[in-house]
Amino acid sequence: MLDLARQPLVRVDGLKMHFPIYSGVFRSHTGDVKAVDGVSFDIAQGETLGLVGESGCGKSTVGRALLRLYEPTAGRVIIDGEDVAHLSAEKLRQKRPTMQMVFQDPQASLNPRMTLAGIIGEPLDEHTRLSRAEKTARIYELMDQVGLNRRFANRYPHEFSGGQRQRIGIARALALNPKFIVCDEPIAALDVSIQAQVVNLLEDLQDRLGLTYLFISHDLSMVRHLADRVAVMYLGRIAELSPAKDLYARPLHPYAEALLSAVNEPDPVIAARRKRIILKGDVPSPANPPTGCNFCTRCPQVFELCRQVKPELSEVEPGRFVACHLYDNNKAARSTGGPEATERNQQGAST
Amino acid sequence: MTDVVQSIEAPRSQWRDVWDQFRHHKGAMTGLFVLTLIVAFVVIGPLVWRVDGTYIDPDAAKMILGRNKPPSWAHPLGTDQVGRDMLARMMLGGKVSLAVGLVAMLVSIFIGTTVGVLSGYFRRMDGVLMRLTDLFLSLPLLPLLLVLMFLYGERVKGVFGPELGTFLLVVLGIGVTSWMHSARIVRGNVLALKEREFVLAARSIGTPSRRIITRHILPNVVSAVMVAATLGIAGAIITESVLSFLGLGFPPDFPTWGGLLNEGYVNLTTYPSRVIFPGIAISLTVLSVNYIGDGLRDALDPRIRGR
Repeated sequence: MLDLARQPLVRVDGLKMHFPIYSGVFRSHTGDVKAVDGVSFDIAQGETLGLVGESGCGKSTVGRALLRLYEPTAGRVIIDGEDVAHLSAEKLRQKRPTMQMVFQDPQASLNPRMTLAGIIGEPLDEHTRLSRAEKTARIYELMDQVGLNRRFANRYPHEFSGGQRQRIGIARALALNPKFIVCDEPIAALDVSIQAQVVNLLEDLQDRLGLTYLFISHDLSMVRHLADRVAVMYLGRIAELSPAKDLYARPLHPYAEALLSAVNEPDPVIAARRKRIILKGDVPSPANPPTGCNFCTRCPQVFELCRQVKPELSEVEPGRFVACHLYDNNKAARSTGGPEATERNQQGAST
Repeated sequence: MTDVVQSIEAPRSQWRDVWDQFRHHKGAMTGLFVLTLIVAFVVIGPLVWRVDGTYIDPDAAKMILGRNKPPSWAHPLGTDQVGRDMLARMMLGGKVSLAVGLVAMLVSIFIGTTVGVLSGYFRRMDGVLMRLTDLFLSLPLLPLLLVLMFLYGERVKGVFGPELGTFLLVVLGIGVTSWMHSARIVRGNVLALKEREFVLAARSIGTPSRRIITRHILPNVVSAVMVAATLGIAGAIITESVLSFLGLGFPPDFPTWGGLLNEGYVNLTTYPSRVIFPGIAISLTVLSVNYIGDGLRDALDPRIRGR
């Protein structure tokens, strides 16, 4: 299920993205919004890593910092053997074809004054020296791949539906034969009926072209469908990183548990029996996160240690990484977590 | 099969679409027609109406008798205060006014767009460039222009000759003192545009900044620039007339529309026709240019095109 043998294509190590806050008369540097605060994960070749979390937890920032659309504050991002976070401008430009992005809002991510052929052809203009005819042929090929009629080549983005626009965005991302694509909530702005089409297209392309995805979304059921492994983020840090199947069957981190309990259950019988975990309070400001665990202000199972020490992401079960003091070691978890923790373990054993 | 045939004519020039849309804009076509008439009047007119607009009758008695005549067959637009033919002077003046308006507008739009794009796109240059803009905005422009003319007038005229020298000086003077508003408008637009996702997408492709500006930013600020440009022509024609009026633009025997207006305005109540004709010419030019700008803006926007 989880191929540890596969070579990681993407390795993120201690990625931090802090946005400085300037205030006062002299615009002095008074603090940082810690949008991403020490995130590490690997993505294997051909794998899809889902990245979920509520709004404002730093999902999109991770995606953008990965492709160095933002300058990361610290950390390394190794994509296909090169540290993208520290490449020089020209090297980075040459590296761009291997990593591409599909954006959230297909309306905003397409220049309204360019034709479809111009939009899909832009990466080709930048990175290849094709003749006009070759370029046109490649554009048609890409349009075929994403299921757009060739006759649309001269049309402008506003003439398309949302789903078609997202296909244009995908075709643009595919133009340079990338290995790694960051999908930044590619389905969030689409109709439910279109979402499935786009997700199927992404899966299909992955099978055919061997792509590696980082799939950022807040749609938990879509991520379940698409991702091999899922990382749950909370306030700039990864709370849990587990294979999708395990995570959805038995979330380990209290936040992941609460988040997943919010997924709609289609079966009314199960839905009626299911207990929803409703978190109290608000997400703390990322400019001023708690000293201890970021989740300690809302965690239903909080204890003293949580308020003092930030838990590190560590492997608690094979392939499952959790940043929670409940799992510091099994002894600590049992003694402090009490009956809930053991109960959870039993459930885990039964599934 | 048909699919392939249809798609082969695909990479079609955008300008054909633009022209097709422009043709359907009634106001713009009327504007274009009127402007063409005005240009024809100014350029071809002197070839047909062969009266020297600078000719003053040397016989003082005749000159005095022929002053301030109302329109007649000999002088279709009448004569001015020294008996010169107004029609010929309108043609002469129009040539200068149109050229000044057009070139000064181009200079000011060029400076304004450059400053606006640079300060909007590159955060590092924003502070300096916008303070420079504020500086120019806070300067009293007329005195500045007068000082410019006074200091450099003779030198420039010495190099380029009196006519071209004055023309360059007036055009540059007006251009350099009227770019600030377009710079601010463009900067505001660029600030909004550069946060749009398609600019981020272009960066993720690896498009360098200069091509992001030419490919993504500039085409999207066209409409704002177009409005500023059409208004700029009107402003330039009027500023030029003010300068001429103050005796620092073109010399009085070298007519411009603005100059004619100022000469005539002294006798507004007694000889209104001397003000009305240059006034109509300026208004028609400004109005037609505005309509053309309007049509161009619509034609350049693919979202409006084809509706």
